[in-house]
Amino acid sequence: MIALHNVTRYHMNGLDPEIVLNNISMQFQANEHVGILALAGSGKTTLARVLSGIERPNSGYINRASSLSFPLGSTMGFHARLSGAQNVRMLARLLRRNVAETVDYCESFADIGKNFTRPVGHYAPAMRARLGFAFSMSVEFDTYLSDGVTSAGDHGFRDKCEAALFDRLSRSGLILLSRHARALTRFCTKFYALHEGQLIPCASAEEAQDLLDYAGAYGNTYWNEAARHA
Amino acid sequence: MSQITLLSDGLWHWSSTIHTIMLREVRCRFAGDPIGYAWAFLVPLLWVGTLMAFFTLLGRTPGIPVDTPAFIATGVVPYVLFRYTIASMARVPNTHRGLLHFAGVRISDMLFAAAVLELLNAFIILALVWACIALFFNPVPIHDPLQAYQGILLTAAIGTSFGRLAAVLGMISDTAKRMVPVILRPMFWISGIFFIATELPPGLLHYLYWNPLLHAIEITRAGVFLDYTSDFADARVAILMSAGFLLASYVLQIAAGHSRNGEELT
Repeated sequence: MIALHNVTRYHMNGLDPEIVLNNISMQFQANEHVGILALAGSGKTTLARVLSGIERPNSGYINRASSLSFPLGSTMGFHARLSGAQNVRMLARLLRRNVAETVDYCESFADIGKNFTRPVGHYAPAMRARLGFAFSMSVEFDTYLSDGVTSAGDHGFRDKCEAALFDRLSRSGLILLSRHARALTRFCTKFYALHEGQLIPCASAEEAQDLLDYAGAYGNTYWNEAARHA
Repeated sequence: MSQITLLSDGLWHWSSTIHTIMLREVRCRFAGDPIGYAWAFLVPLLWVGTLMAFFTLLGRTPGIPVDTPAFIATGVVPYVLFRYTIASMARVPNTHRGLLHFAGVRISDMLFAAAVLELLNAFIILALVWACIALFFNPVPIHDPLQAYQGILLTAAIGTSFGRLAAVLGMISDTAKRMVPVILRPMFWISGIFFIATELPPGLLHYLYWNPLLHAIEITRAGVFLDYTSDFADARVAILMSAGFLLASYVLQIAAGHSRNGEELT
C-alpha cells in the first residue's frame, strides 16, 4: 500500500509559494490500477516525483508499505558514457536483482543489437527509450508508477511494451499519471482528476476529463471532444 | 525478524549501494579515454614531477634534511586527496543524479561514496609515488606509518567534511558552487606542500594556524620522516574544523530540504 498523509508540495516563485499539491491524503492498494488525469503544468510530474521519493513533500509524509517502481520507461538512470549493458548491470546491482538475468532480459527485450554494448550517449532517442522500457519491465514491483509512459519506440515495439505491461499488471498495481483519458481507460480501473493540487475521485476517465473541462482548464473543449470520440 | 538481523540487512544493502555508486563513478569519470581511470593516479605523479622540476630550476631544497622527491610527495599526496575529495563530492550529485530515481539512493550516499573512493585512491597514489621514488631515487622508509596514516586520514576528514559542505551549498546555490574553487585556490600556496610550517614568518603562521590542511600535512611529514618532529602540528585543529564543517553541512541540508532542482537533500 502507498499512502499519502496530508501531502503538500509547493515551489517558490520568488517569495510566493506556488502550491502544486495541496494537503492530499490518499491510499493506493498494491494491486490497484489507478489512473490520475492531469493537465500539463498541473503537478503531474511533481506528484510522480513525490510518490517515487525523488522529492520530499514540504509537509505531510508518504508511507510506502509495498515496493513502488521508478517511473516506467525512465532513462534517467542511464549514464551517457556507459554502454547499455554497463548501465543495466549497474542499475540491476543497485536494485539488488540478478545481474546476468537482467542484462539478458534487457538485451533480448530492447532488441537493439550491437548497440547494447555501445555508449548510451550514441543512441537515437527511440533506442534509448527501448532500453529504458526494457529495464522497467525487467524488474518486478508491487506497484508500477508511470508519468504518462506506457510504451516506447516505434509501432511494433509499442505493442510489445504494452503486452509486457499488461502481463506485469496481472500481478502488480499501477499508478498512471497522464494527460490522456484514453490511456487511463485502457490500463486503469480507478480514476482521479488532479486539479488545483487536489486528487478528486471520479467514476471514469471520461468523468475526470469532464471535470477538468468544466473547470475550464483545458481551454479548447472542441479538440478534447474530438479526441475522445476519435 | 530480530532488530539485529534488520540492522545487518540494512547495513549490507547500504554498503552494496555505496559500492555500486563507487563502481559507477570509476566507470564514468574517464570513460572513453584511452587510459581511462589511470588518469586519477597519473596526474598526482605528474604534479610531483612538476614540483621537483621547479625545485631543481629554482635551486630550492626542503626545509628539513630529507630527499626532495619524498618531501614533495608528502605535501602533494595529502593536497591531492583534499582537492580531489572536494571536487569529486561536488561533481557526483550531478553525475549520478539519475540514480535518485531508484529507491534507496540518497544524495548523502553519493557524497559518502565519492569520499571513500578518493581515500582509497589516495592510498594507491601514495603507494605508487613511493614505488616511483624507490625506483628512480632513494628508497625512503616510512618512519612511523601510524602517524603518517593519521595525517592522511585527517586530510580525508577535512576534505570530506568541507567537500560535503561545499556540495550541499552548490546544490542550493549556483553562486556558491562557482565560489568554492575560487576560495580553495590559495590552499595550494598556504598548506605546506613545498615548505614546512617553521619556515614561515611568525606573523603569517599565526593566521595559518587555522588552516587545518597545514596541520594534516605536517603530521603526515612527521610520520614519514625519522628526523622531523613538527612543533606546529595540532590534530585538534583539523578534527574540530572537520566536525564544524560536517555539522554545518548537515544543518544546511536539513534547513534547505531541497536542492535548486527540487531533489530531496537527504
